[in-house]
Amino acid sequence: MQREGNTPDGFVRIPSEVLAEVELRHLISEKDVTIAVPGGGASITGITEWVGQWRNQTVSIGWDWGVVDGLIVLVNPSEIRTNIQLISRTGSAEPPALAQIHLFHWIESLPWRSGAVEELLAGERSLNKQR
Amino acid sequence: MPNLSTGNCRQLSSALIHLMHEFRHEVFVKRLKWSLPATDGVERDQYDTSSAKYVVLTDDTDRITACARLLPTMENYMLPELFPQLLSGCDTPRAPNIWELSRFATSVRETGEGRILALSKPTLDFLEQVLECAQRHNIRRLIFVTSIGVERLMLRAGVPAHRIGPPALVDGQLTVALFIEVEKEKAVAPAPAHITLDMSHPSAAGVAA
Repeated sequence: MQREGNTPDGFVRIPSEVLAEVELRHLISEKDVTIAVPGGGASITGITEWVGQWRNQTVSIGWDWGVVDGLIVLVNPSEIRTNIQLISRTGSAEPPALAQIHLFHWIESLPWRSGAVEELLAGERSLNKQR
Repeated sequence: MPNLSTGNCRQLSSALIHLMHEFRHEVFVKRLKWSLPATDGVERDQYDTSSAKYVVLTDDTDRITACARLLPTMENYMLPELFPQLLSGCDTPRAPNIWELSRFATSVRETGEGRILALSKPTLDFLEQVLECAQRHNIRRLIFVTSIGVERLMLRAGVPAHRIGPPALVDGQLTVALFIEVEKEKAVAPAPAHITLDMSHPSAAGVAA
């Protein structure tokens, strides 16, 4: 199998158009009271971490969430933490702003609220929930 | 005037090296309560060899206000030996131009608890000095083991860092290994100077801003 990721710089390079094919599983979610939410108003905040595989390479992505007006929302989308570098059709790295949009849409296609955070809100720490 | 000193234990004065180990003891052992090897008021470990490079900042009274340690990945270093789970199957980075940043600390000013908006300006200033030092030594990339909370704040500050693999719980704290691109530094954003922060994980790098 071709090996494209985890290059010496640590990135797993994935073409943007196939990002949705990468399957993720929930690793861990936690409440985190130190997370600042723009505009405030979040009653509860936390993180969620997911892992996956792309051509035998381990993909990692995590983001912050908050409960705002009773809704679980992704907060600080510019601070999505990952080792993924999205690649354009021309083979170059996607501009950061575009990569952020792709990652945001990908995240929002995942069942992360029901699969991780809602469970967490009922307990203390949410671990290893399968997608 | 603040004075920045860089070099290994042979290039820096023994007095400054001793003060640095005392400073690390003060920050990591006494203040942050990390479980580290410490005797007679100094903190020193097996990675403090002649291969380690230090970056030490002193104030106009010769008191240390910040320090950091750089370890070559061509020799023993912390990530593969103490935190192999953070590599998650990735190859262990080993290259002459990849070094590990650890024992990163700046003086602490106590503040209240609360939501953390940013790394402090002294912390970012010192990080920039460390990156400039790395650049002078032809280091292209730094490995940094830290909490995901600090990872978030580094991204917010524009530090060109990305994770090597998934985080893992280490002593109850979600910890992650990062690459910091040395050549792309400069983009650090200004931040309030009043924030106090533990910048990394026990036994790894660390900080209090």
